Formats: sequence, C-alpha cells, structure tokens
Amino acid sequence: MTWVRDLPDAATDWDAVAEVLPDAAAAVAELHRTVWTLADPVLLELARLRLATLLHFQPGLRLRSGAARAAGLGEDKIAVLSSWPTSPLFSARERACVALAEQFLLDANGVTDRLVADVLDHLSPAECYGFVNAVSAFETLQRGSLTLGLDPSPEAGWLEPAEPATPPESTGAPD
Amino acid sequence: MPDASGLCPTLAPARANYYRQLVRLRGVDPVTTELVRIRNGRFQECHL
Repeated sequence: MTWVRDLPDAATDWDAVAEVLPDAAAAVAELHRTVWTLADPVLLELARLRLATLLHFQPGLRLRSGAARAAGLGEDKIAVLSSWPTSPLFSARERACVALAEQFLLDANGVTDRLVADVLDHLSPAECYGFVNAVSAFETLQRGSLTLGLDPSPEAGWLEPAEPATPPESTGAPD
Repeated sequence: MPDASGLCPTLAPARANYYRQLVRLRGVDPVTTELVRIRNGRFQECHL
C-alpha cells in the first residue's frame, strides 16, 4: 500500500493517484499501451519480467501481458527466465533482448555497441528503438511504483493477472 | 545526437504527452525537482 497521504478513497493506490493527477496517470497509461505495440510482445514481456525480478517488483510479477500469452509465451519459460543466458528455452533473439534490457537497468552506461548489435541481428532498427523505449518505460514505472509503494501495479490497467482467478469453492449440500 | 524519433512515429505523441505531464508535475516544487534531476544525471553520468 502506498505511503502517500491524503489520497481519496479508491479501488487501488493507482486509481487514487489517478484521481489526484488524472492527466499524468492517463499519460502514463497511454505511453505504456503504445510501447506494447512497438515490438514483439514476447520480447517485451520477457524484458519486463526480468526487470521486475531484478528490482523485486512483486506487483509487476503478478501480472502478465495478454499479447505475449497469445503469442505463445508460457509460464514454463517465465519460470526459468533467470536462467536466460543458458536455458535452451530461450532463442538467441530473446537472449539478446533480455541482455540489453538487463544492462539498461543495471547501468545504462554499460550498454555497449555489441549489446545493441546483437539485438539488431534480430530486430529492425525501428523494432530495436521501440524495444529500448519500452524497456525505459517499464523501468521508470517499476522504480516509481516501488518508491511510491503502489500495489497493485498501475500495469493492472492494461495487463492481466498472472494467475487465473480461483473460482469459489462449492458449498452446496449433497442431494 | 541523431533524431531517431522517426523510427517509431506512433510513439511520438504518447511520449510528448507524457513529458508534458512531467513538466507540469515539476511545477509542484521546481527547485527540488531540478536538484534531483541534476543529481540523477550525474549519478547516471548523463551529461546531456
């Protein structure tokens, strides 16, 4: 729960922030909805989840991209994302993108021409540019949410829960 | 630095709006915001 004081009552922390700063909240949502269209959603989701893991951003880890799911990204692959450098489940394309995203997060000054070239071996310049912009947006949102203590993540407005909702147990008496 | 914004034309309006809102938020406390911006820039070795 956010530590920000004097927010209006709302369903979530982010909804409360959005009531106070509607234009800013809308701009964040618009930017994120846009960046999700700029590159392969599987690559973006792998990058987003890797960032969330490194930042210990649990609210983000409880969400999934519907577009990435629809494109075939399964939980088995997500479960071993930390092993991306060596796991056979990841393609060279995916490894190059996750490597760039990881270095971007850890130290943007450490993003070498080699890291970018590895991505450009698989993505067009436009896709690479879009990917980097998306990673930047993901990092900013995750760090900001961690700082403000936002839970759930604002991304719940455009991503899906990681786990399907559990249907309530039947309490009907036997006939 | 070369202008790469033409690579993703659909991004430009959303990003422009986002930064417009950031500029507005900066007005809450421009002195503190500027100090933080400079400090963060030095920390990130971003001298732009």
